[in-house]
Amino acid sequence: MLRSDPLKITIDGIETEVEKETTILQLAKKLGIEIPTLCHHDAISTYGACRVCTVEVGIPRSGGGKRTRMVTACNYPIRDNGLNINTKSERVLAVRKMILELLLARCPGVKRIQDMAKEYEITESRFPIENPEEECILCGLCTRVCQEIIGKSAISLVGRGFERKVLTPFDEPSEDCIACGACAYVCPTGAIKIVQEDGKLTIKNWKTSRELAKCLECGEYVGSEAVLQYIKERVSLPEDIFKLCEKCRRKKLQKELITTGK
Amino acid sequence: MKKITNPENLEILRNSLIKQENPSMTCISVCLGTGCQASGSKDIIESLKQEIEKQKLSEKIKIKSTGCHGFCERGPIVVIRPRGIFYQKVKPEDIAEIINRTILKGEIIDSLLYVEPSTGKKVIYEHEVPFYKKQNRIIFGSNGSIDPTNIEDYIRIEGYSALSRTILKMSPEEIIEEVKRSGLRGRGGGGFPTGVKWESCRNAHGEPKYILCNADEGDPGAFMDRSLLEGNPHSILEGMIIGAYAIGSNEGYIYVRMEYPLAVERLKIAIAQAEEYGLLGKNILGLGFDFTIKINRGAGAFVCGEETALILSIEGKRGDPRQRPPYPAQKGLFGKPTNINNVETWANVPLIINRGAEWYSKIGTAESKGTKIFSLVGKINNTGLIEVPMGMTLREIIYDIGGGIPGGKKFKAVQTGGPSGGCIPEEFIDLPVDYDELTKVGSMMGSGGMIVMDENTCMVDIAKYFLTFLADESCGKCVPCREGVFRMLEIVTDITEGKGKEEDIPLLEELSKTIVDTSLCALGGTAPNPVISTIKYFRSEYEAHIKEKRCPAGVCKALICYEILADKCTGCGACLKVCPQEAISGEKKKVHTITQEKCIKCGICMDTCRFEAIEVK
Repeated sequence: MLRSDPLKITIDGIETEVEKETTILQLAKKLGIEIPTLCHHDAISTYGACRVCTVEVGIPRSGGGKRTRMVTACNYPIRDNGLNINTKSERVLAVRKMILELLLARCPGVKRIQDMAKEYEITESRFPIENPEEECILCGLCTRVCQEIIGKSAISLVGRGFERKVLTPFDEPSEDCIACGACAYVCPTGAIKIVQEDGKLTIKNWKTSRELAKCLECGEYVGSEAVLQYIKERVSLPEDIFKLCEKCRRKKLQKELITTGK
Repeated sequence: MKKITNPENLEILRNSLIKQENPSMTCISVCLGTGCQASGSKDIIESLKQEIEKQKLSEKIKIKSTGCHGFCERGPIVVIRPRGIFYQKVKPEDIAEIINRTILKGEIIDSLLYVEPSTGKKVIYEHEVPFYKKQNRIIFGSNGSIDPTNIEDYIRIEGYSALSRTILKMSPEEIIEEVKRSGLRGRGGGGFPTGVKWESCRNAHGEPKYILCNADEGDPGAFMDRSLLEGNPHSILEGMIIGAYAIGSNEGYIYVRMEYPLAVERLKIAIAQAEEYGLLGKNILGLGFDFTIKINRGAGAFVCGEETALILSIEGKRGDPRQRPPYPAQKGLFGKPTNINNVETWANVPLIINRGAEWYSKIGTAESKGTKIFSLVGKINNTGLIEVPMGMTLREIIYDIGGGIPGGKKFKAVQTGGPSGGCIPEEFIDLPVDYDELTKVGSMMGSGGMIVMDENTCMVDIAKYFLTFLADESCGKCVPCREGVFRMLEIVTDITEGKGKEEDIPLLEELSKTIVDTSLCALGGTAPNPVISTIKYFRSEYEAHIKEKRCPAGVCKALICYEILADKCTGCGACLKVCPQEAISGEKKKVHTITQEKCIKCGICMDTCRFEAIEVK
């Protein structure tokens, strides 16, 4: 595709030039303007579900003047010359506060939500707490990483509205889950619990356990058998990677280097 | 039937169909729309067939099963043509009399006529029924005279002539220009100019392009799309084929909800017949244009009527809306340029082509052209589907066509635009109904639902009803809709239960602002409308619930109690017998009393009392 001329836009009063189709969030990051996010991850497709990154934009009208809209910075592509973005207007702060207050009522015990809310001077929610144990904000990062990056789609969103949940099919132990833990890694609230016991790795949320492979040298755990198998099928890597733990691999490599060095 | 291989043969067929039709032959049209079927019109068809056979009259009388006539309140409806005699609430046992007296002797059966409630006057002919008189049924009118399962009926009344004209004589650009000039706007709710939408899809890069028909009508009380699908499916197919030719698409889908089995059945028949006649499929009318239509059934999620969710649902994915841009015209079904229009929008297209944009744009108001079909329901005498020119006032719709409010009750409000529309109070009864005027008063056109409410309606309870629906149907993807609407429902429920707090109204307003500003799709973005509009126009009712713990309309159970009026109670014991809780006591012929602790406020005692001796307090 041909590169078009950069667009002249304003963000928080700063005039700048930007490549067409850049998202507001990408631009803000480049300029060091902080926009909070919860459901966004640079490595995963945008989703626009948490809405905490909502900003106000003034879009120029063809006949002159501007049309104001509230958009999500994570997935709004900049396409108009003269676009005026305000990431901290009164309206933006008001909606951001309300969204955080709603999330705080949903997940009262989650540190990340508490901290974010506190930044916006919210320490308590006016809404009753339905489930004090709730930690999931339904940002969908886990389902997206499982589908897009891992390629497994072992978990999915089920149910509608307030009853929406992330589950394995029929809430049964998953056949597809390889216990790679990517879901837990991207989870912004720590809602996905992984435990390691009895030679197994268990993702509690998905009721799924996978055997852990042991290092042939020292007997330390290398990782979930299923993950190693899954990687083996896809990429060609030295066999050692699948048999030895990191420490033993290093030792072996050192030894080899020294030997060949002689 | 052999395929029609060129436009001339279509005209030849049409002319021969017109000639075959004997205009003086008696034709009994029986409405087989969902409403009339529910009131037993299938049995009427059976009785008619038997009676006609019994009397050996099949040479003289034709029976026609049609789609919905609109006047559902009075179903089953039977119209005898060519005289146009209008019989209502017909029962199978009336059939012999209809044949013997009306058909054979030309007499009118008084007891089957429609009686105008205000004057007590009996109306004989269909076109004189006040319900129809003020309507302008350019889209919906054919429903009453064609058999939706017979393509030849549609061809006889100009059917597919717009299609052959467009492919034969117009360039795609000319068609788009014609639709633009007509001023047609999307009938599904958005009100976006149809021609502009078509143009942006035509100009979008990417092949193939797809044409979609949104038949996922889900608003409570709305059934206009359903009745078009069931009563005149070919008009929708023809509109889609014309649109496909204009946009440059060879593949279309109709997304219809599973709850409309009759619509699906009629569509299947219509598609098969159109293919058989060479009006759909490969090389349409021998003019070198291919277009196929598939039916896709929705599983019943309201949100799948939202275009991006609908597209994902056709793809076999979870029907969650996604952020626009990109719009479907750029990146729609399977990532390809896609044009999506609602059922009624498609049905308007052949008419615009046949009669011209000039003619069409003369109907309606400056910015809203044509007619709109509304489903008129709630506290209204003439429940049914009506088609009126844009710009008709609410008063004309509710009183002249709708026949006013039953039981002489006072009009309170009308809710337009489906669950996320707003409630319009009496002060705006003379509002001309079009896209922009409805928006100005805090409601919207939506897909055309119109729910009338009388003085006995509690507006807080109404807000609760719609919020319940919306909270239930929210997909749950974005925080403001999932959490926010749920919280609004929580607060409004508390108010109706007498647990409201002073700060609830401002909190509802604050929540509304955030939900409107930040929701991902229009379902969320408009979800607070029922609350915003009822607070705006009926604030005192909210305040009565919160401050005085009183429901002025006497609806909210927690805030009312039933009492027996000593001066009116005759001690007949009728209420005592029906009370499921045994909460009423009293000796015969002596004043009865209600034990409030036992009462569940079902209201059956009040309904049963013949002396108006029971009151809500």
